[in-house]
Amino acid sequence: MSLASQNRVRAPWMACLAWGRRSRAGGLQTVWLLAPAGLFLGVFYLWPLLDLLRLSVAGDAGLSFYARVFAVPLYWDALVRTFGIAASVAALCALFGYPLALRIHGARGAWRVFLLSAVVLPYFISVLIRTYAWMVLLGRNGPINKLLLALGLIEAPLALNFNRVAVLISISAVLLPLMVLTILGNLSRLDPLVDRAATASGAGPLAAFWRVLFPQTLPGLLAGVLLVFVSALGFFITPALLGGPTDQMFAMHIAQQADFLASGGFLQALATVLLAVTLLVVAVAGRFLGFEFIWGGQRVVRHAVGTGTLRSPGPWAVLSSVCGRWLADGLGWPLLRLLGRVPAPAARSVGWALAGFALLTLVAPMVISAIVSFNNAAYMSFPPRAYSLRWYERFFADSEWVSSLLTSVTVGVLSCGMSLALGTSAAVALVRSTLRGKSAWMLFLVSPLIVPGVVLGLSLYSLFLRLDWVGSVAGLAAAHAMGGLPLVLVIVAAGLQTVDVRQEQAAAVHGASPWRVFMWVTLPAIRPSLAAAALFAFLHSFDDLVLSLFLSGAHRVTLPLRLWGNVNYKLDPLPAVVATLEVALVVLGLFLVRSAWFTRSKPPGRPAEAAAG
Amino acid sequence: MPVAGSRIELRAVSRRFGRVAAVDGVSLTIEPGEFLTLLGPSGSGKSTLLAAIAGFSPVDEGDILVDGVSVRQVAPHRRGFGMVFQHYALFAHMTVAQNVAFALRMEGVGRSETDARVRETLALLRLGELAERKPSQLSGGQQQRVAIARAIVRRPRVVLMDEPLSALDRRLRESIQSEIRSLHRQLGTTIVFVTHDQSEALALSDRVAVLNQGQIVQLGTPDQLYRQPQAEFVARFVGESNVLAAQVLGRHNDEVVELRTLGGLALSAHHGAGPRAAAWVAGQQVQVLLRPERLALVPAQTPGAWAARVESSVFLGELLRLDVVLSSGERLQVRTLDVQGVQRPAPGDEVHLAFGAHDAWVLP
Repeated sequence: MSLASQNRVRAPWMACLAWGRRSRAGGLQTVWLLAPAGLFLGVFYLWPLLDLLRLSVAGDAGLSFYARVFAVPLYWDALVRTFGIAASVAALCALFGYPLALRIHGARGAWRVFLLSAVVLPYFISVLIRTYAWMVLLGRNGPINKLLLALGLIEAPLALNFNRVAVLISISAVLLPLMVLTILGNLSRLDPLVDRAATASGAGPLAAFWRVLFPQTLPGLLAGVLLVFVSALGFFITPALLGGPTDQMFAMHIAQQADFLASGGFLQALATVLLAVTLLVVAVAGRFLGFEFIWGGQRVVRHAVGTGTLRSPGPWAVLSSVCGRWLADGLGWPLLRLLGRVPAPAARSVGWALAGFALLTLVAPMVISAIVSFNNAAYMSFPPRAYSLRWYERFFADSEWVSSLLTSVTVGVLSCGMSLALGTSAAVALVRSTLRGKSAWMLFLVSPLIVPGVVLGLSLYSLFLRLDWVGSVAGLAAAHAMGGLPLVLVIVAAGLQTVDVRQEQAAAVHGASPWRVFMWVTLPAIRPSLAAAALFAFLHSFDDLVLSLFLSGAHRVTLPLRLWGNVNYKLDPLPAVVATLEVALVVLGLFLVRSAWFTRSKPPGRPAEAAAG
Repeated sequence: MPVAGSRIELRAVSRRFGRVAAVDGVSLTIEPGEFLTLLGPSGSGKSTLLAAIAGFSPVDEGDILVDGVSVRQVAPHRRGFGMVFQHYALFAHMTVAQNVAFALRMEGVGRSETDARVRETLALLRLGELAERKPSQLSGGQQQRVAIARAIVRRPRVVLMDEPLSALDRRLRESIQSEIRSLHRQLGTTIVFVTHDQSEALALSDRVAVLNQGQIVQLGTPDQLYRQPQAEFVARFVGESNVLAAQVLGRHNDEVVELRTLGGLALSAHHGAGPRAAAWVAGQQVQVLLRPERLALVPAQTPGAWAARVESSVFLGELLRLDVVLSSGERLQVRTLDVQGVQRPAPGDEVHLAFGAHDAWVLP
C-alpha cells in the first residue's frame, strides 16, 4: 500500500484524535491547497528560468556565451560597476535609513503617522514615477538649481543629472523605504523595557544605544542592507534615466539588447550571470541571517533547553577571544563609558540631521511632482508661474493615456485576483498543515521577489512567444501575479498565524464543516490581511514596467510603458499628473485597508485578569 | 557583604498625564533597609510612582530625596539603583553572565573583579550553572532570577521591583518570594516593590502603601492593613471581607462600641484607640468589617449567636467556604476549617455564627 493511500485510510480518525495538533481538515486535504500556487510558479517561473539556462548553452555554443560575458570589458566592467553602485546604495540607505527608523520608532501620535506615511507612500509608488520626480528635482532648471541660484551659492545652474551622484542619490531614495521598514520591523519586536533596564544599570543614552539597542537591531539592519543591495543589483530604470554613459549597469545591457533578439543565447547568458550573482548573494546572506530576511520574518532559533553542551574552542578561537577581551577592556568599555558622558543632545542632533535628510529625499519628490502637475505653462518650469488643471485636462482628453490607464487597471485587477486566490490558499496550506519542509516551500514561493525583473521578463518572453501570448492581458496579469503571489502569501500567512486555532476548533466541534469554518471563522479574522494583500498585489502589477517591457507587445500599452516612452522622449509635466494621481490612489487604498483593520470584528476579550488573592 | 539601604523621601509628588493625575500629591518616607510595597489595582498610579523614583517618569510637582539629597535633576542612569522589570527585560543578545556584568562594566570595574562579583551574585541566586546561556534558553523563573541578579550585582542601596512576579505561576511565585525575602535580609538594601497582588504584599513587606486613584489610601504594616483598615477600599482590597452597614447604639468602653446592623442584628465591635474613639455618637451610620475566617460556627443555644441559612458550601481543601443569609436578610461569607468527622453544612441547613468584639472592626 502506498503512503498516500495509507494516509487516506488513517486520515478520518486521525483527524478526530489529534485535534490539537492537526488542522481542521486533518492535514491531508490542507496540503493540497499548496498545489495551485506550486503549479503556477512551476509553469510561469521555474520552467522559463530553466529554459533560459538551456538557451544560454544551446546548440554548439557550449559555454562560449559565458566566456564572452567575462571576456568583453563592456560587460565585465558593468558587472563590477553594478556591484559598486549596489554596495554604495546599500551603505547610503543604512546611514540615512537607520536614524529615520529610530525616530519613527520613538515618535508618537500624529507625528508618528506623518513620519510613517512619508515612508510608506513612496514605498507604494512606482520606481518610474519616483525616478521622474528626481529628474525634475535635479534638472537644469529644477528646484535644487533654482534654490542654489537664489541663495547666491552658484552663478550658473549645475549639471546635476546624468552622472554617478544622481544615480546613487536617486536609487538610494527609491530603495530607502525598504530599508526603513525592515529596520522598523525589527525595532517593533524588541522589548520596550530593555532600554530602561540598560539605563537602570547605569548606561547613559549613547552607551545604552550602542551596547543594547544597536546589537539587537543588527539583524534588521543587515536584512535591510541585503534587500537593498540585491534590489539594486537588478536596477535599470533609474540608471537608464538619470545616469550618464559611464553609469551603465548590468541589467541595462539585457534590457537594451532585448530589442534585437538576433544575439542567440548570449542575452540568456547575460541574464543567467545576473541571476547567479543575485542568488549567490542571497544564499550567502541566508546562510548567516536565515532566509526569513527576504520576507521580513524573524529567524527562528531553536535552543535546546537543558543541553548546554559547549564545544571546546580551537586555538584560533582562543586567540581571537583573548584579543577580543584585551580590546574590550582596553578600548571598548572605557570608550563606551566616555560616550556615556557625551551629552545626549549632541548625539541626538546628528541622528536628527541624518533622519531629516532622509525624510526630505522621500517627501520632496512627491511634493515637487504635485506642484509641477498644476503648472499652467506648456513646458516644464519651476516654480510654475501660474497654476491650472491644464495638464490634467490633457491627460484625460488624450484617448491613448486613458486607454493605457484602463489597460493597467484591468491587468492589475486580474493579477490581484490571481495573486489573492493562489497566495491565500498557499498561506492556509503552509500555516495550517503539518507538512514537512515548510520553510523550503516558503522560500520557493517567495523567491520570485528576489529575481531581477529583467531576468524574469527575458525568460518569460521566450515562453510567451511560443504560446503566442505576447500582448495578451491575461498573460501579462499572470506574469505580474508571479510577484503578487509572494506578497499575498507573506501577508496572509502572518495574519493567519494570529488567528486562534481554538476558535476554528470551537466552530468545528459545534458542527461546522471545514469549508464553513473557513468562511465563517477564519476568513472574517484575516479580512484585514486580505485587504492589505490585495492592495499590495494590485499595486505590484499597476507599477510594473520591466515585465511589461518584455511581454506587452506593440498594441497593449500599459500606463508605466507609456510613461517610460514619454519620459525617455521629453521632460514635460504630464508624468507629474500621473504621479499625483497615483499618490491619490495609494492614499485612498491605504485608507480603505486601514478602515478594514479597524472595523474588523474583534474576538471577544478574555475575562479581565482576575486580580490574585 | 550587607550594605546600608538609603532613605527615600517623597514630598507631595505629582505626575499628570493631560488632566488626569496618575500620581496625586503622594508623600511618603521609606526608611533605610525597609521593604516597602506599593499596592493597588491597575491604574492606581503605583507603577508611575515607581518610574518617578527610578527617574523614568518626570515629576511635575513635589520632590524626591534620597538620603536627604534631591534627585529630581539626576538622570536615571546616574541614580545607582537596581531595578527589576515586569517581563524581565533581559538583554537578549548577551549571556546570563554578560547581563549581570553589564552594570559593573558601565561603572568601570575591572575584568577580574567583575568576574568575581558576577560569580558571587550568580551563586547567591543559584544560577552558577547557567552563566553562559542566553536568556532565550532559560525558563521563566530562571529569567526572573537573572533579572534580580542583574539588579543587585552592584549592591545598590535601593532596588526597585515593578511587578516582577506577575508573569510566573503560583508555585514559582511563592518560591521566588521567599528568595527575595532572604536576599533582602542578607543585603540590607531598601526595596520598593510594586504589585497588584495583596497576598504578595502581605507576605513580603515591612510596610505597605495602598494606592488608589493616584493617592495613598493607607500606609501601614501588613498586620495593620489587614486588621485595622482605615478605609472601605482597603478592607475590600486586602483579604476577603464582609462589610455591613450599621448604626451606633452607644459606647461600651474606650475601644468597643455597640452597633445594630441595618437588618436589626446587634453586635459589639472595636475600633483602634485614639482621639476618634470618643467621637462616636448614638444614631451615627458606620460600616463594620467582619473577616470571613473570624466568624465561628457555634451550637444553636449560644447566647448572642446569629442564625443563618446556608446558601452554598464550597470545599477548598483545608477550608470550607460558606455563603450564608442571615435572619435579617443580610449576606455573609464564612470561612471555616474543615475538620474531619464534623459534618459539613449543606445548602439549606441552619447554622449559627458567633464572634467577639475584637473580630469586628468599625471602619472610620
